[in-house]
Amino acid sequence: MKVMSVLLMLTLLLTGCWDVKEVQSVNFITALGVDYVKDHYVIYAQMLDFWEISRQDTPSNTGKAKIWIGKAEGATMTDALNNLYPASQQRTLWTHVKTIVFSRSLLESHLSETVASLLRSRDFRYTPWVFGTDQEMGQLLSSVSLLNHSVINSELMDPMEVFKQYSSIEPIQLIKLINGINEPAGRALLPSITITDEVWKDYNDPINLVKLNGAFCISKGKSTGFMDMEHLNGVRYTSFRKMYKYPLTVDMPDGSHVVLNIVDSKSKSHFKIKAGVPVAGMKIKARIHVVEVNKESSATAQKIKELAQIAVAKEVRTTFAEARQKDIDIYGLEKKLYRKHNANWKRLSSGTSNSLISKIDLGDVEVNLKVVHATSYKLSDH
Amino acid sequence: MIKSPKPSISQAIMMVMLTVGITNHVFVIPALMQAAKRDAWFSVILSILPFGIFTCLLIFITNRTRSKSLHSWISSRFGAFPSYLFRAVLTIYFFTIAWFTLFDTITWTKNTFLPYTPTWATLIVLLGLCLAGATLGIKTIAVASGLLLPLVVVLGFYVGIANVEFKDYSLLFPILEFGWGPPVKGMVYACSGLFEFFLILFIQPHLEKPLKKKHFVLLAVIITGLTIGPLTGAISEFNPYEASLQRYPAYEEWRIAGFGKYISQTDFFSIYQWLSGSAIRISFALFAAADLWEFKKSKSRFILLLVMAITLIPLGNYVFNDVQFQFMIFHYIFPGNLMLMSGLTLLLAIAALLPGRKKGGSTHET
Repeated sequence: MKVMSVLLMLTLLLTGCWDVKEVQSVNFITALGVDYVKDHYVIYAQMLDFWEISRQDTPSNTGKAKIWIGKAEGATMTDALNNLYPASQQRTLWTHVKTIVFSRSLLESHLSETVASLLRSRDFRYTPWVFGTDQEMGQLLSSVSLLNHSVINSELMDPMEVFKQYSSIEPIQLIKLINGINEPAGRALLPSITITDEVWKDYNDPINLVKLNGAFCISKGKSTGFMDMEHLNGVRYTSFRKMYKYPLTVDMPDGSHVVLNIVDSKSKSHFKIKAGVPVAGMKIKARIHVVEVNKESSATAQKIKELAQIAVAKEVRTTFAEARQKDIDIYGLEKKLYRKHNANWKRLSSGTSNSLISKIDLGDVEVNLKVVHATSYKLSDH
Repeated sequence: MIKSPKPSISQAIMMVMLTVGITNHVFVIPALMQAAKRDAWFSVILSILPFGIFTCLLIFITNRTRSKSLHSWISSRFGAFPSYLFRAVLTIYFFTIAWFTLFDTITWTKNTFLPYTPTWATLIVLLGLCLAGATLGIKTIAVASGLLLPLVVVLGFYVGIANVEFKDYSLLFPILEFGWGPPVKGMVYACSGLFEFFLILFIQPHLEKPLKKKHFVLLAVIITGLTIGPLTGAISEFNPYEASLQRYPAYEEWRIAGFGKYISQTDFFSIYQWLSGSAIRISFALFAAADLWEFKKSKSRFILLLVMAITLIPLGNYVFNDVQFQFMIFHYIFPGNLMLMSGLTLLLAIAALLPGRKKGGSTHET
């Protein structure tokens, strides 16, 4: 009897589930776009229905993927989010946002406030993928995936899949973007995303798909500039947390082309202070997979390695010079200086809020490549 | 099944890991980050020396007092008045511990995963549980610790490992960027957490067998590790500036942990960890406060516990808001606790050095 009454009392605890959320009565936002126009924020919220999310592994032919885009404006980020609610019919939940896209104008002016407001609200996590863009947001967020898969399977929502095959620019999550916002001397490379309808067609109808087209360099809470894909070559060998592979074409003395994959490139940088000027030396280590060699080519493994090392070093220098001209610290050298030579960093940065990159020189670039295999065909060593 | 009415040594170790661990692992981290930013982890390294000395003092004191409870040891050596003073101060201390643990837990619950649940509901459920624990006694609390702790530890390793992808240990440097000021200031908070090892003095008399030196050393190492872990985690995963803005850095580490493409959120596990720690901690604090007074009747003991629990209801959420709470904990409670714990330990160690009163001098001896 006593036990029974205690058990009955316990069931009272079960009734009061104030925070219960029923999945059908919640709007799950899957992606967010933030733009800044003149003096106010414009947000774009992307929503998919559950049926879309569950279609990850069962592509269907029964119609296009369905995407809703909500748009709201406000003087602050939170105002804009709040202005989305009145017309949203149900409770809106942001915690499953997988991707946040920032427009260029926002990146140049209000990035730091925006991120602070998103994170303080506790509605967003540190884990969504982040991108910058020049595109019209609504259009970008309503791009689709192939085979009528769910949009969850597009590069916008799951960029690592493409990156593993083709490491052009490393996708980052919000948690690493904040290094470019509140870490002194920090910089983050924010991938830029755009739309193309030139590659894939659906029965000759062009379809909008996203692709990466460059990177914004984020430092001290704003974009310090944009570098497009062609000018990011050096970055791939030096600046990624994990570089998978990226192709490099080398011209042999006999005029034939050899295509390589540079795999798993790692780099170290160190500073020497010469007459008050920090000179950065870089060491790069990577492996080579030879993927295409012309049959008549005189290419040998030794020769390929030699030429590839020269080519990589040259690309690292070119990218550095091009970026420095725009005052962009493309390799994040300033943060190395900050960590390892703090006194010098303080001396150089006192009285200026600009990037120190114009005061940093690039010294030796040492490249050490190793030919691992020539894929499915043989290749002579020397 | 339960053979002895007294907790075993391993149960005591697990109990300390939960009671003291949650302070070092959770409560002290935001204060430490605020005080020392990037140098916070270095503060803990610097604190190893004072903490080592402190641990030696604790070993010395327990060697002298053996299985006698501290207050009766004091009264047998110095008379009734010092003993009453000691009890009064420590009752307030234990009550404060129970209070800030409760406050932080309830606010965190409201702030994070139960925003629509009224706080009185969570407050009463948690307090009821802790009141039951404290009433049933130290054996119950110790056995419960043994049941709760293993999964807490497993989950702790899980979150540490799952977050490896976000860790960038270069963010720990440069140290001493702003001189010795920040790490020394941080030491106040690091030590305030570490010195809670002091609670062992109130567990030791209840144990089956007294703790040996190696147990003290083991616990001291564990407690230090428990502080370093989430601290270096927070600095290397976010960055020191972001982490010092965060209200719950240890919980933020949970919010980023996920595994694979299909399971992106696993922070609900942290609820288990946090509630295990705070339930054991509050229960123990209430128990220890009542234990000081050696009630003859269990009814009067229960009345004291009940009074404390009922007083905690308004204090647990309604009297102060969280902004005031953070101010108090940063400026008064942690520094105050540190002074109290180190002062008392020093006094006790000196007292243990002095020759004791001769027979008949004590009023309480039986």
